Amino acid sequence: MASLRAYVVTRLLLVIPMLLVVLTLVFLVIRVLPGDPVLAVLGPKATPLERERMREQLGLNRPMYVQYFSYLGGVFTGDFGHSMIFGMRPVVAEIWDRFPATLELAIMSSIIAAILGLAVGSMTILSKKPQADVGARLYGIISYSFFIPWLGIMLQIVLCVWLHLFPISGRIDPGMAPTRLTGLYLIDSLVTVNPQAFADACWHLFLPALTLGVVISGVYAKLSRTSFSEVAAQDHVLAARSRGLKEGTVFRHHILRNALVPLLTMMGLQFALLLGGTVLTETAFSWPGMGYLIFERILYRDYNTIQGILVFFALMVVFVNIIIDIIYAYVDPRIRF
Amino acid sequence: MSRFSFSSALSRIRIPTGLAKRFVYAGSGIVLTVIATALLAPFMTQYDPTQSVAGALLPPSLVHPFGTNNLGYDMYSRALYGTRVVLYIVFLSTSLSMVVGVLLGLVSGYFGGYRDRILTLIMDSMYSFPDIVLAIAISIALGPGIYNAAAAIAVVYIPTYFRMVRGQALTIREQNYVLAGRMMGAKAYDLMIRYVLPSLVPVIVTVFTLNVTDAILTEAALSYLGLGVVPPTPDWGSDLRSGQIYLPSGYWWLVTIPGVMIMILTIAFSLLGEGLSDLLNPRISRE
Repeated sequence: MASLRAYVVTRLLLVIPMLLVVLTLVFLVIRVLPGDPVLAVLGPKATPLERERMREQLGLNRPMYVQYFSYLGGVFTGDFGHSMIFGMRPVVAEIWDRFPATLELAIMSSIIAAILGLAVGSMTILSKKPQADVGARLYGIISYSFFIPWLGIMLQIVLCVWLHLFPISGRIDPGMAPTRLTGLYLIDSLVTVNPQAFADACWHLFLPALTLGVVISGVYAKLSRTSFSEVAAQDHVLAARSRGLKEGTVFRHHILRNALVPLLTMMGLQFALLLGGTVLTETAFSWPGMGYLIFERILYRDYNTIQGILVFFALMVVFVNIIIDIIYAYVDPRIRF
Repeated sequence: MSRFSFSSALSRIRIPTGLAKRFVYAGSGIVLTVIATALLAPFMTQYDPTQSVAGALLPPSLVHPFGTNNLGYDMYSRALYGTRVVLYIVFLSTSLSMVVGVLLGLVSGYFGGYRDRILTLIMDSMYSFPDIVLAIAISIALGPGIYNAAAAIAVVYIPTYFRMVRGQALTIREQNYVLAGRMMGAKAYDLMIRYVLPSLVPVIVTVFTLNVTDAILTEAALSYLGLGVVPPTPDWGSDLRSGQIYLPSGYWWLVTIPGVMIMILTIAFSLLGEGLSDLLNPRISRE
């Protein structure tokens, strides 16, 4: 497996310049573009002395290049600075509080999206009718065209306001939160054997996950449709059919099995799309994750926290893509540098 | 001799399937209707979208087909005038990203070397942000407003064009007609603009149409988050956000209409884009 190790090392080395550019982009956007964070936090009525004090406290009075390098150094040592409001907590602590909520939402949504997407994709292969293919394409177009907050709000108005079936916002009822182990309520409540908390967490999670899952499923359906039909056109599928195998068997054993690994990889590479979707879903459902944190802090112009979350989002996308590449290289030995 | 052109690309269509045609007709039909609505909005409603014209929170009626909001603004005229704002921002921003992205992509793909490596690195880094997140970051820095939102969206989608053009330019520059042009002593600029670019037009058109879909959703998202167009300017995203406050009281018309408008427009451009992609690039999209 020496070549796999070489692949992993090369892949990781290649990411360093990219990380530097990503971090520089965030710094440029937040710090160099016009807009004074101190003025925004303190308001126009603050005296020059107060502004100067805050500037000093946040290190904004130092030359730009010093700020840049201390920011880079901070990111590599896991120090994202301090929030500019609410007792100036470390940004890492703020992110750590909210990250599990986003993760839970992202995982559930991608499961829902994968189920819907694979179902629609396999329908186009299994059904002989041309309408099935048209239907699948329309499904892709329409589900991708939903404006996420709107789909969420529509579900809220029908299922929460009119039918009172689901809670309209939040992650769990007050006081129900299970003891924090992983921060993922579904797992924590199972581990601590707290069925009420588990049921309540599921009940709160369902609508946000469905909203995001439906929107992402269109993309997944499109991916499955293409990769299923690519595999279905190969000779071994024809051979299987000519041996008289049933269509269902051909699909399960010859098409699905060959298409699944590349397909799951491609779905994983849509991670940025998923993460962007969580920002809007969380805002629509007041879901206390990182996206909702951005939304809350926009109102207070808490630039440090926003900058930290931006960096964190970009790091997540970069690393998820690396991990997927490595897993894929492990599964498929043909992929090497 | 055989320079590519848009019309020759069109004439090479091999499989003009009925479905692709129908997608294009339906999509362009809706898009034209929306553009007509934007132009004719003053003739389609008598109410100013930024004036209180009736009681607050009236449900839909014959006088106010989509009801009124908390300030007594007519939601029907806000829905109509909203087309102006979204089309303006989206076309401004996507045109800008197209011009910049295509030019950078041509430079990168045609010249290669250090220019290519630097540009690719920057574009890939931008790509590692979810598009909405990058748009949020830039809008926070620039502040709300129509032009700032357009600038933020424009930056976000430059890599989309860059990647596609770079990839295509890499293969096209090796084609015989480009080599012939180079041997005849054509300058790099001429080769890029007059030899390589024309054969990219079909792909650029397709990507542009599909990109408009994303740009509409991003514009709505920025306004929904309070970073794009701010009230009282009629905008669907910001109307959705102001309407959501009244959701628990059941004022469904405040939130339904803006979202339906967004969806009509995005579906139209998706249909158009998918259809064009089938017709113009049959190799890519037909199995």
